[in-house]
Amino acid sequence: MIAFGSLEFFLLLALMCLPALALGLAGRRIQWWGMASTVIVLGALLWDTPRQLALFLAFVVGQFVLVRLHLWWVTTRGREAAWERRLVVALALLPMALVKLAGVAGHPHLTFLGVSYLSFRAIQVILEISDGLITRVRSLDYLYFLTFFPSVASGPIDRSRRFDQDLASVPTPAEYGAMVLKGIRFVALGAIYKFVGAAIFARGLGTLGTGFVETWKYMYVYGLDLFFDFAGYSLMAVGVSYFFAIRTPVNFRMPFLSESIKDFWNRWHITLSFWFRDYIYSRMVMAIFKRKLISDRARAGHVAVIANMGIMGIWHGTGINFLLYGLYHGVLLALTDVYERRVGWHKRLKNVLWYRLVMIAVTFHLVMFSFLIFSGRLTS
Amino acid sequence: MTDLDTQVDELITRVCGTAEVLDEPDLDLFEAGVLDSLGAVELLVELGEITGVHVAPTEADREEFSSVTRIREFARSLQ
Repeated sequence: MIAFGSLEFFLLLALMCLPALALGLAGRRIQWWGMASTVIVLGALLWDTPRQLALFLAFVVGQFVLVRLHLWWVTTRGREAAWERRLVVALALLPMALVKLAGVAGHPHLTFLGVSYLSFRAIQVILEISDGLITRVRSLDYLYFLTFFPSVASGPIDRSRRFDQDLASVPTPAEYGAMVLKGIRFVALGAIYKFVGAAIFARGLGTLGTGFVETWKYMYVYGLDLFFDFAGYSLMAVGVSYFFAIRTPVNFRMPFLSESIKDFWNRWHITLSFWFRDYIYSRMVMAIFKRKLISDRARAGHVAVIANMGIMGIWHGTGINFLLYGLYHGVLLALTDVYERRVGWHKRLKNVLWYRLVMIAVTFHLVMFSFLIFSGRLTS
Repeated sequence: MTDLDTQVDELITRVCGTAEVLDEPDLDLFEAGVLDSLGAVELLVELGEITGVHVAPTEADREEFSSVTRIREFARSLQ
């Protein structure tokens, strides 16, 4: 059974949504059924791969123990010990790092469903405990947040405090009804994106040959396939979450209308982009400012954004194409920043229609080229 | 204007690159393109230095410091 791929999965999903609907429309709390659904769906996805199931459970238990220990430490000893924070984050990262490295070393059997995405959720909670923004962790709510089944496979990456807010209130039947309608629209649109849009482009990929012109065509087809597939999945995941009264944030917002690369990263794989911004980029910049490592603030930002995007690149995979993808975007973001600050005509023209259209077209091509790098076609 | 207000206004001017933003205190600075992720971090770091209260990157939603008015209110709330 493949999450959001196989028919059995969708049938199971529909089955899981029925009691949720009944509870929600009656103005009742859905959480307990949501947690039961998570167990059922994860069980169904993993029961025929016992190794993955074992790894998944070990991961969840491990992160839970880690978060409890970290919270205990911070509550009794305070938040100042940087070594403790770094140790805990490193431990939280360890499963994901091991899985990726094992994959490179020729042992792909360490991977399990959602490892890359669940790690982000776990690290976010740990960092916000160190920030003093999270002062208590309710075990069941945490486990639900970590393993919430609609977004376990490939996100979107939610935030624990936002998730807890959704859990804290029970929507009225009318509010829930609105959520259901929204959920249905998301699921329908997502299904069209993935099973119609992506399917069309994926089929096109196979027909293309080699050579310059073919590579150019491949660039567009691959990029559009990537968008429709991932945006489709994300929409369906968000839609299903709404059935469970959880307003998971969306991952895409018309990314091909971006007027700059900066704008693009507010519109493409949004939850990943924002996670990296909030938990890596910001902290890197803060560290540079506080320790006065780079005096020019803009340059500090450029260094941090290139490092940030480089890390994002290799998070996707360990091939050179992924690192180059990340660095390409990092360099583009830095160059865009310089362009927007220094180039005179940009400030004058940025609200003028023809200029904006040109920027959309330019950005679209810069982005498509990045997907070509990502595809590995240029480096293999 | 208190000392804090003056310092905050100076900070805003520096981060946004122009004093003109102070004339439109309710303008959404992110949408207007004068404030971006880097500027947001600068803002939080320096507000932390001005008020003596460390502000974590995800402590506040972007809406809480998206306009001059809101930045001033946010700074006051830190004290």
